[in-house]
Amino acid sequence: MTEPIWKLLPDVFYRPVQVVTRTWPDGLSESCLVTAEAYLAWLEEGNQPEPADEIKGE
Amino acid sequence: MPYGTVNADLMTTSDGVSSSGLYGFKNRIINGAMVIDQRNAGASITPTTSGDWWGCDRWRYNVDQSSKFSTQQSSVAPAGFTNSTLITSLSAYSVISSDVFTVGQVIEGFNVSDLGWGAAGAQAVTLSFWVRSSLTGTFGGAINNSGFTRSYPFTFTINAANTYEYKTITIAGDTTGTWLTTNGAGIRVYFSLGMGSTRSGTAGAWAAGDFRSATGATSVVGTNGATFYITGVQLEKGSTATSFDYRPYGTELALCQRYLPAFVATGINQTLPFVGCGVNSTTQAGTYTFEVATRTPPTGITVSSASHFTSSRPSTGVTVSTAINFAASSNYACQIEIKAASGLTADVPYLLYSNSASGVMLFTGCEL
Repeated sequence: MTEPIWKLLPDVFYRPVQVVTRTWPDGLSESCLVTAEAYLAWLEEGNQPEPADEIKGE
Repeated sequence: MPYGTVNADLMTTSDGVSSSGLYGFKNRIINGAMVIDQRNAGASITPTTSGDWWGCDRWRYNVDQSSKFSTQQSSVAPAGFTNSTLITSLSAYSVISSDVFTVGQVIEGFNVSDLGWGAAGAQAVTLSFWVRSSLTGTFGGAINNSGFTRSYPFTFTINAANTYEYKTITIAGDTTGTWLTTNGAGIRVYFSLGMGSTRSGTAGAWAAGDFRSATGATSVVGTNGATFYITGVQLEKGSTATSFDYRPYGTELALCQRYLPAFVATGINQTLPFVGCGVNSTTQAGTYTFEVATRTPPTGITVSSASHFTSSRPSTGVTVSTAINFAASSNYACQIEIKAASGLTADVPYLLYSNSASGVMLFTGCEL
């Protein structure tokens, strides 16, 4: 299974820290702090995360 | 007739077994009988990249080459046990000098602080376990400190193929080096599945440096199809191996959840320990409360699938989740964000339920 790309999550009031997420083809999803081991290891391989979506008003 | 000595509050039997090791947390290894498998629920995993992988709770694999073995919880166990960990070699791989392939457990410093390692008077420990392999010969492993500056390589011999054998190894306490007695890595216990020469050392003696096995030990990954089972792993204070410390299942699960808080569904509509509040029509956010205080605050969440969980509030039915994201955490709880396509309402309370018997939510980053 190809390793999916991490994506930054937008800043919101209930999330005081920067978080990234990714979802595997089988539906498994991961989200973690940008300081988490797994994400840092992925960055060290030269990868870059996708930018966060803009939050639109409702 | 048995005899022994009583000295103040310490009883010692004639064969050297001290009462200090018989009560309370005798076995410093958690899930030594491999009965808890929150991550994989018995499914096989193959470490497909180099790095750290997790099997049964608290059991960690260090691998330097991808896809050299698979592992899973097994029901092939010796009398008195129901489970083991099975490792199956997927090729005939010849290790290079720097290679490390291990299965092991890192014991939290708090749980070995009484051993007094790193100073005069350090207490001996005894490692015992049941092992079975399709291979015979001399196998290896090691004890290490947090910084990998102290190592005690050991060997054990498997005499008969495909037969469980009981092994014991007594290790003198290390009077030098730095041994953490905090929530960090106290004692690292490794069993080798294949080890390069750089990480192999002389068995039966403490050494400065990073050795994860004994020189010349059998390589499990070196034989295609080779199997290696292990269970009943116990590390206890003293120079005598005593009977395995069978703890209640609930106690063992709670011990594991200090390192991996998890919700594992067994059906649909099962309640999670979570209370949230609607943020808007597509988001609710709330707090998942842990049953056990964690070693460190989690740094992430892994979810089997967001659709395995639903947001619910009285009288309005359920809303299937489209994403579940980490937001913040402490040792006691985690703030999470639940997304839905639509149908949520701002400023109203929500609960969270399983929507599949396969629903699993793991809070990661607490392991050692």
